[in-house]
Amino acid sequence: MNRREFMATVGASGMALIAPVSLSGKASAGDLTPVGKYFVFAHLGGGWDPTTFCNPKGNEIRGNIDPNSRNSGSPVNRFPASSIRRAADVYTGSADIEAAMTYAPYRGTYNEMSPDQQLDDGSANQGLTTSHIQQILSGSLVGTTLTAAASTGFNWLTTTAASTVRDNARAILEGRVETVELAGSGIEAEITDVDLALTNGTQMAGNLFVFDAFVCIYADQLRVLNGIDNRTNSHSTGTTYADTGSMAQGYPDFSALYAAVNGPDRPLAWMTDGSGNNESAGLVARSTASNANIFNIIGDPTNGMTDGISTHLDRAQALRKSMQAEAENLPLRRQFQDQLYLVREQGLEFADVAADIVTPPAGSAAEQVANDVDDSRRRDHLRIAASGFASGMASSMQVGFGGFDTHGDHDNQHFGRIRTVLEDLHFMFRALDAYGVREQTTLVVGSDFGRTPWFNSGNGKDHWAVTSYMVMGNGIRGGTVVNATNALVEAKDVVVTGGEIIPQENEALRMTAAHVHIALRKLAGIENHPYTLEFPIDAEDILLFG
Amino acid sequence: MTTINHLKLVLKGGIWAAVILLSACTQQYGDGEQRTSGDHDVGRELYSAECASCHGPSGEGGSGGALIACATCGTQDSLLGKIERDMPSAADPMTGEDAENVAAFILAEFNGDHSGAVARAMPGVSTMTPNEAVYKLAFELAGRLPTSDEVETFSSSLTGEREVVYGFMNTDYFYERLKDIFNDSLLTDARRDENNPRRAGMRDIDDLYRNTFTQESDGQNYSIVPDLNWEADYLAENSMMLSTGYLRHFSREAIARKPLLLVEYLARNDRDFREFVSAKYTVANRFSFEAFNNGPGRPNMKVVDPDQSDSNGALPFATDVTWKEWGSQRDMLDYLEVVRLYNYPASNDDINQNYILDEFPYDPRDIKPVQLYYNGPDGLALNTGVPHSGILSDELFLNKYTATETNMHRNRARMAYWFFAGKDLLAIEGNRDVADLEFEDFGNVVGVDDPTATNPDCLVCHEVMDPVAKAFENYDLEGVYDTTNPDAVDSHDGIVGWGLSKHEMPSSGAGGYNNRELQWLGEQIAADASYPMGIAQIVIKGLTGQDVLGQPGADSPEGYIRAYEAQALLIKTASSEFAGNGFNIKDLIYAITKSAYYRSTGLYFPNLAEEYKQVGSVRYLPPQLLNQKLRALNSGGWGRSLNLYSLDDRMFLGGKNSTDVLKDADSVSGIISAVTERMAVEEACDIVRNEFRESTEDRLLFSLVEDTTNMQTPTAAARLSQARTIRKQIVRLYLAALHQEVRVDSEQVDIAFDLFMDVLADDVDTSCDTGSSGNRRAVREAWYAVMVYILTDYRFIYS
Repeated sequence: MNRREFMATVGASGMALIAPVSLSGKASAGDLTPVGKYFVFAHLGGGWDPTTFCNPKGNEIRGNIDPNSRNSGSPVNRFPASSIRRAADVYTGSADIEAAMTYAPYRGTYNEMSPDQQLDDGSANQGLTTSHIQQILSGSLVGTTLTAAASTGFNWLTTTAASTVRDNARAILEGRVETVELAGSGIEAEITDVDLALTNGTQMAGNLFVFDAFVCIYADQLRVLNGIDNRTNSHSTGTTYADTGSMAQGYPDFSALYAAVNGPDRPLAWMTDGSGNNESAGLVARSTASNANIFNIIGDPTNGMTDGISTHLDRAQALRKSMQAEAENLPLRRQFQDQLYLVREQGLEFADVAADIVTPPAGSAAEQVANDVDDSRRRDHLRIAASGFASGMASSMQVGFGGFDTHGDHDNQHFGRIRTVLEDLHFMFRALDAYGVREQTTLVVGSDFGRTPWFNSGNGKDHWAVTSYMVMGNGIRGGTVVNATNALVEAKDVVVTGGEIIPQENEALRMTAAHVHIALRKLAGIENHPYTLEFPIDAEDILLFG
Repeated sequence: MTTINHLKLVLKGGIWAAVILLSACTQQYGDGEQRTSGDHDVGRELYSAECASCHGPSGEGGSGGALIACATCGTQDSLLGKIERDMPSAADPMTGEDAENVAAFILAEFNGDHSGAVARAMPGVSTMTPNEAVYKLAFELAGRLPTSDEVETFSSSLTGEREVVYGFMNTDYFYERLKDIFNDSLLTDARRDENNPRRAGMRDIDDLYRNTFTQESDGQNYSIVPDLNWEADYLAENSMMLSTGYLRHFSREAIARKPLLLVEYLARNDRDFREFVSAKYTVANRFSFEAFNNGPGRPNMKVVDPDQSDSNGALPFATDVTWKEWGSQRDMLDYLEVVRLYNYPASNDDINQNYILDEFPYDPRDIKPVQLYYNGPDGLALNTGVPHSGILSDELFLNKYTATETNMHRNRARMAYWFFAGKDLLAIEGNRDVADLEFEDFGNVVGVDDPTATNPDCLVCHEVMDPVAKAFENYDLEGVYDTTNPDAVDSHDGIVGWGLSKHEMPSSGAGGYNNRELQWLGEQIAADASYPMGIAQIVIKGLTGQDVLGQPGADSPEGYIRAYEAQALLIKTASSEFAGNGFNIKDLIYAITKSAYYRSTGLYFPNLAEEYKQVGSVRYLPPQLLNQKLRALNSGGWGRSLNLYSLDDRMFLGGKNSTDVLKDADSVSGIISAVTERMAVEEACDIVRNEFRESTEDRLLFSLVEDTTNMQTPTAAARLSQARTIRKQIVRLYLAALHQEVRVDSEQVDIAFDLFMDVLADDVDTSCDTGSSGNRRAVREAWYAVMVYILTDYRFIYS
């Protein structure tokens, strides 16, 4: 019995309890046409601190903002407000970047206090300025050293062409810049070193500029959703809410739902590394591949060992399946049986691409991406998923980044965690480019919740319901920021006027993870699919993605 | 009864009658144990009028949370307290006799009672035949096929069944499996060498004990335990030839798995499992005992007598301590083969030169209760030991569930409730209603005041969590006992309390628990009616692979609600049997594995599917269990294209490492599907070759046939006889590998028989080396084809 016959049997017996192909977005069973629209959901596990990247506030003491504020002696951030950078100032392309899109300076590029131990009140950043960042991005890269452009006569994107600036930014994101040399640029004389990460007086590590490099390249694609209220300080509830749009138990992650709608029988339908909520609600199997070498097996499962008996074997297996299709009617058994046989049938198609995943064609962009995996399981996961999108094997991906639950020593840990995220997202975009699906892919970055707008006694930050999401790529109006928080990182409400989302102090609409998922479902075109309707989300459609 | 009531809603009368009839048929031993409800007419009436609209007519939940195994459903007191506080509304709660009647009704109707037992039959659900059950349980609990005697005894009577299952639970494999079952929930194996914690950026036990588990005195850090890297010195001092790897393995396993070693100790010795949280001791085998006593200031560990009364939390020392040695080399080799599933620790010389038995013949299975003494700043063991309270005070457990300066041990309190009382504090008020979590509800003062201390919406949880968190205050953030509060964690206000009924710790003085608050907490937890439910949750998850489902909310799908309801009932009834039989962990496992939930195989009516969405114990086997299944069939385990003895390769098949991959895969993707096909062809080949290499009586699987089958023999009777034997062998293969009993003349057997005959007729020579030639080879090739057919069946990788 071939696959279509098997599916007919499934349908006739009414047994397809997992996402039956008839309900999926696929044209037909056995159809592995690439979906053409892909989603990546990146979950930052533990609750990230958006003020450390896309919603920076500065180091004004909370008590100065509101004398009655809790932990009034603490600032929101350790960096001065005047060191906060504007995306538009480091972006190299022609798109409009909203002035509201700002980002935090990386630790080590600013001074927490002035030389006389005074907190910056917003007017005296004595670390690197925006102009200095532009000079660094405009520098000359020789080997692994990027020498900053000179201050004298410096003109952004004129002194150095935009294409070179982007090359430098890519080199920073890809770890090819070990050292940034300030000597001779004039910068060294324009800064005061209190907390700067300088070595030998004039050198800084290249990875201190990953934030800048990422914004330099991707600002036009990035839409920041600030002031999202995840409405909980609980990791488990927040994770569920962030990834599904509902706090109810039993809801699938958005990425799983999308994969189910678009064909649960695709061999790698839902690529997940097991992070985040990791809930499929039984709609689709989890595909985890953190090492490409496994594809040596996948490309030829039986390895010639059934040559000579395969005809008899196929017949026997088909008969057995047919019989079991009727006999196995316990829901759990039927679900598992269906899942296995569906993906096994489709797996036969996989041989063609498996070899290329293990060893991409010499000289191809895919090969370069494969070489830069650096033994990272996450990067292999990202790379294989990109390949899976292109080959029709997969339609969505869940990927996780850990270590954001920084109750202690926050700054020392949190900046580095976000840096890793940005480096790996850049890697993912390269992989998507290499496989020709970049333009068709939407990325969502979310987290359990945010972190307190103050430091605790261990220099950590605790749980705070208000957070930010970042969305990028296909269907996203980039270069934009939606909503805001006040100086104490309390979410503002919004009103929607003329297609624009306007922050409003008064009680209006509070943006939540539910709104993000309403928008995601709509963007994905699955909002009216029967599976989606099984898991309703009660929230307004507020054109969140522009 | 909940399930029946609900079914009545969905079934038509005629079908219902048939269901009852069939249900009776599935009661294999005629003693279908159904929960009984008492006479709660008043409570029932009040419930229908006041509660059912939100909580559902069967307590399954609706706009209000489910009442089956709900957070406050542990005792009459706690449930009554909840009702009188704010049910059906805080403005007008039900009180007095009405509240008592409703509480009693909810406990009896939706939560069983402690005289309850697991249901061995469920309406409309078919369950395993005795043969299917004994094969499945032999694999699940003993990691092997059942013997013919066991099969016979199991089927003979309930007593026989019980005897056989308890026999399975008296094998070395079972105790290894039991530790894994507990690790599925506790995840304390994060420090185990096997899981390579360093690769995940975590600390291994060297790092923990040398660097993390230290204290400070006069600005200097000092070790609280001896150098655990003891084996090299020990070998040199004693001029031993034994391999370091052997000693390292068993000592480090005993240390890194100490919380699980306690599970093994209690199970091996049939001890009251409440000691898991209340034992005034920790445990060691001879290997870890040597490690902890290796320092110059020893002894840091002394064996104690757990059956004597403690004095202020300290047990008297045991007298005449002897450590058991291997009974024989065979005994030792058998055990090494069991633990080989993860690691084979002995070198060839250890075995061949008899170094183990000559130089360090101690049996690692001999686990003893011990008292641990930290070193003081002077490097000498202190006179006062750690006030042990089972796993609650275990440094590895506490290090896994760390505290922070700001959560102030609340994480530990939450986990204590979850693991050992089956209560999810997050669900006390049902699932979070988005509308209830508006900042406005906090008066917009979250940034001004700490709402956890003032806001009623927060207090409902914190008032039961914080007093328990306080019990951990004499442990530092990393898990070391230290009464000086070296991390300067703020004190919780109020005194130590336990449970939703607020039992409070006796104050200081004689019999007081100052500085040993965890011992008091452990005693309270052990005595709490909810404790067996917590343990039942852990075991059910480990045995079925199913997560413990959180309480459904108003938006939860109907199927989820039904699944929750069925699982909650199993938890409740299995825990009742566990508690009723004296808290022997084996009784709990037997209760679960005999239940209809665990043994269900099918439905008599398709429209029951929504009712029984998650019922059953079938799951995608974690790769180490898959490997054990292959070993049980004489393949030797998979070590060809993938090596399932290696963690990395197990992870390809969806295995976890307890460090950064915390859960085994629960379904098969295209990757796993393809890899298991490779496994099937390679291991089918190994099984056939290995089996026919043995004499008939020594074979595990092919005990009914020879490779001399000749279907061309001229005598029809001889051909018929051979065919009959082949068919019987096929029946055995179905049962042994797929846990499915089929009739010898069934279509299922026809399929495999035809396959055998077709391949035999073709006289093929595949690339499988079956280890023979000529006609024997042809016969083996035919069996190879049948084994591939069996091993590629979904039932092989799902059990």
